[in-house]
Amino acid sequence: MSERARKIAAWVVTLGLVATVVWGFLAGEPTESDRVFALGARIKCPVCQGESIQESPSETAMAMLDVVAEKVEAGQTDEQILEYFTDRYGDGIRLDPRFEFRTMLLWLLPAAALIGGGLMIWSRRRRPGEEPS
Amino acid sequence: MVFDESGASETRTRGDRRDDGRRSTLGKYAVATAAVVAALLLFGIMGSRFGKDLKEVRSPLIGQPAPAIELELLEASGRWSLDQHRGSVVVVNFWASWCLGCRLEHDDLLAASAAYQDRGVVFIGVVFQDEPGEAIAFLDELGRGYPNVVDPGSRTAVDYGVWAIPETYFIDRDGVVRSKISGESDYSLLMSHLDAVLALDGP
Amino acid sequence: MSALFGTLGTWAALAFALVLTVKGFLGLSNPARSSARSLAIPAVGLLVSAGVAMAALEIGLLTDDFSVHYIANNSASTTPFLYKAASAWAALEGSLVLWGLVLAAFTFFIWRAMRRLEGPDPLWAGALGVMGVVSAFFFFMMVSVSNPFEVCTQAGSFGFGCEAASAWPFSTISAPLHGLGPNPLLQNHPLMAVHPPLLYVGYVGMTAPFSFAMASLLLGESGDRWLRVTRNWTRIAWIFLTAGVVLGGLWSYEVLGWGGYWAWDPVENASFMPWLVATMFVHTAALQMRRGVLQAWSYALVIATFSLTILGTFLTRSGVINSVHSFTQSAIGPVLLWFLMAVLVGSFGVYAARINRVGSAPRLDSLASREGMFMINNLLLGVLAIVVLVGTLYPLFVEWRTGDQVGVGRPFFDRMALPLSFALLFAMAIGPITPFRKASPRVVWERFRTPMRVSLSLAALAAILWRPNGWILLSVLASTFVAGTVVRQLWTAARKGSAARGGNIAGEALATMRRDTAFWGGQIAHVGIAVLALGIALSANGAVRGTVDVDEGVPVAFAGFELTLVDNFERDEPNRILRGAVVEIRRGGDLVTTLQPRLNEYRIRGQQIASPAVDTGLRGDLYLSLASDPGVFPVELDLYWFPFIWLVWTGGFMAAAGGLWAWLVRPPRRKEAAIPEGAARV
Repeated sequence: MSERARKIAAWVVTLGLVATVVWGFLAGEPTESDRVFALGARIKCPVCQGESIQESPSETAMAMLDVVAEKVEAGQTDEQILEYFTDRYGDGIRLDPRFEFRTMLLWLLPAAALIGGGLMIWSRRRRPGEEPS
Repeated sequence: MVFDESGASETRTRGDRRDDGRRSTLGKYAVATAAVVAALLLFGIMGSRFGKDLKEVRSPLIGQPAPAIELELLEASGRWSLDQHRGSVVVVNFWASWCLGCRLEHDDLLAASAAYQDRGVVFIGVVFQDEPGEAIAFLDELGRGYPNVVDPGSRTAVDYGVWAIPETYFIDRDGVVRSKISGESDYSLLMSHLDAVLALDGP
Repeated sequence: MSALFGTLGTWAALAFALVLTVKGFLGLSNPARSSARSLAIPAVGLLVSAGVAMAALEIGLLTDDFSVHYIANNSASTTPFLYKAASAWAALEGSLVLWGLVLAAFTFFIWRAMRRLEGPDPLWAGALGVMGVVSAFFFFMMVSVSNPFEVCTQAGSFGFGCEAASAWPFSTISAPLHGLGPNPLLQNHPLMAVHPPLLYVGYVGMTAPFSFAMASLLLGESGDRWLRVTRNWTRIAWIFLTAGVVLGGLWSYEVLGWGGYWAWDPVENASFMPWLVATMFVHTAALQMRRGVLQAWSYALVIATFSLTILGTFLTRSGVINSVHSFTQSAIGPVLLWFLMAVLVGSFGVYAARINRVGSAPRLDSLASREGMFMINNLLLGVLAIVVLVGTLYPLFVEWRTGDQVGVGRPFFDRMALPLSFALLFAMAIGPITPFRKASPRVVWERFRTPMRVSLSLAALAAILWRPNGWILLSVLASTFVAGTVVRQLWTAARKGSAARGGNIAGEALATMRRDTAFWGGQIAHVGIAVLALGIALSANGAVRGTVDVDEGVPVAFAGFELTLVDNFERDEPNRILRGAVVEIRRGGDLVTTLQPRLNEYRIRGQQIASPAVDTGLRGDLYLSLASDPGVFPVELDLYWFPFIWLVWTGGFMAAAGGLWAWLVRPPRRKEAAIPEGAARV
């Protein structure tokens, strides 16, 4: 086999592998198809500290998870169910804050750090015409 | 600050040096400024929290129609329903025998319930995650003054958004939640909440 | 007696720390006064008096000296020996004594290293002065707002615990008959004896590079001497911080009974943020020592790391945050907050005033270079640190400004950390194979393609054979890629060496790794992080959870196992009552093991703690936790299956081991060491 043919073969194999992995990534089973489980992970257990009602074995968490299950059964949307809890416990019951004006900085600050840091790194490069250090 | 002393820029032209010095100075001061801003923010955030009760949560139910209560009585057969008390001011107290704060506030609740009976105020105790036997023993020990109901599965507690008992809700004559006490209450606290609710649409 | 000796020890330590501060700063400003000899008394005196304080506390705990308020409220005569000893750091005041001792020990070791210098050195004297300032602050807290040696002046009701105390050791003592014992959560697992001290060594150790950085800034000394001098202390601190964070996760997993090891809890975050920034610092320090770039940034990072350790201390100890691990609210909060302000404003003030004298800013020849990759590393770790910082503090900020309470928890952190972590893994694979100065794409591709093809093949194989979740697949790809580039590099270097000298490959590989321990220690740590990442992905995405009601003798099926409750028991121990269930675990009819999840009731505090039982196997952990009284049937059990979760701990400790390699392994002495340093690097 010529050098060239071998190179082409290597590329074809590599691309085949990439395609397989991409297929595997897209076709793999989703993280959690269970909506009750997924919603439970987004609601804080009021009597615990830092745990979600999905994680906590406490009685209150179980009761709340039952409410979630009932509402999922009744065909309510995720947002409706979260709304039900925030209307009673306040926004503090969410582990997953909603995107709104007062929580905006939560997403904007890391994004700003990423962009600002990126620009700072970019500015460190030597300009054309400068002597190398 | 225009001419920086760092050795690294020595090989560069004068123009470059000036440019470099200003730029890096800006960058370095930005770090220091960010630190000072962070310090002030931290100071404000944290300073405001000393001595505060961190467990207190403002209830979003205030100003909203009260969630329904329709529960079995603890010590009698039959049900107790909030709807039947429309027209009265209702005080809903969530409690349990295992809760120390509930033990401490019980006398004051009884006293307030007795004092405001004539003014159309109804008290109801909701037993929260407790064995009925233990709850009855608690009442045997500390006294009774108003009905109590059991809340299997904590459904009513979830409807009211109870974070940690004891919690006490005040519902006006139209069935709207007007205020809430998180944690242990006492007589004067109950009085001020009740007077405020009664004054809203007093006769 | 412990109160008297402890009080004497803390006051003496405060005095020595102040003397050290004064003498250190005099030495900083006047080279003639900066000899190790002139600092001997305060440096040694600080360690001795901190040691006396710690010994007094430990002896008091072990001999049940309930005349001391702290001991009466945090230990009991029925507490087992190990937990009596660990009670020294089970609550706020005592933990400061350990903190002070570790700080004094670092100060002493710096002084001992200084003695080996040829002459006086203002940099070292100044660094010891800064250590003196920090020590003085901590011992000041111990004699004022957070005194662990107050004597008990009023015993609690029924002779349990202590209600009132006085700092004056000769006050009229009214010692209770019984101590209250430690918080049940803190006497339920032996890791409690290990995890906090490790974390403290990590936290406190970062004070050493910080001190040298401050001294170097104050002197206006340019160059990287401060980094070279503190190289090993930084490594030690990083190793302990890493091990401490990993052990903290293991402790949560083994004790808290919900099967998790990381909840993005504020106190966990408080230990993770310094780790992230310290890791950034370790990288920039390595780069600066080799290439002389990013000088100003190294200063900023070490100051940030130190500030974050103080912030962490504040968040944990001030009671401003509700958290699983936080100590109760106390007067210490405002004092720590003022100190944090002083640290931030003071050290960044010095930084701003002096940075133009010491920091140089040569531009990079090319961003496509190892230097550029180091910066990408800093960018990604830095953004992750900001995510954690903002996520932790933002709810407090909103509450301060609006009075509203918003919750920020796992879903937010997971969503933000996931892409950053994958980016970090890929940067970790590519960075170390990228040449310095300017990387030609051809060279990078040459080193990159084989590991990439291997990890692609493995991921493709996994995709076809198991059809796993997409995140698992991506982790397999990224982790094997990281490991693959490291192995390829080692293999290439070893083969080259073996061809030149005729040694065997394994021996040459080891020799390669010993020649440049800093680099190869880093590579070991990288593989550790890759293993950790794989463990997180596999255990999180493959976990099976369930709750079952079991009756005696009736088998239930769970995650491929059959579980049978065969017995229950109740056992009295001096400090607690154990109630447990005996559960036989079978797979395909064969007995795998017998697990005994328990409810431990601690007598004095009357609290019940579910103590989970875990069976660790190669394929994963079976985790059982009791949710109801094991004596009443049916018994409610929480069941978890976590595949390959041991990879998390293994990877974490491997990362720490990488640090140990860099710290402890010495290059081989050999005649043919004509190979210039760093030549082993490809």
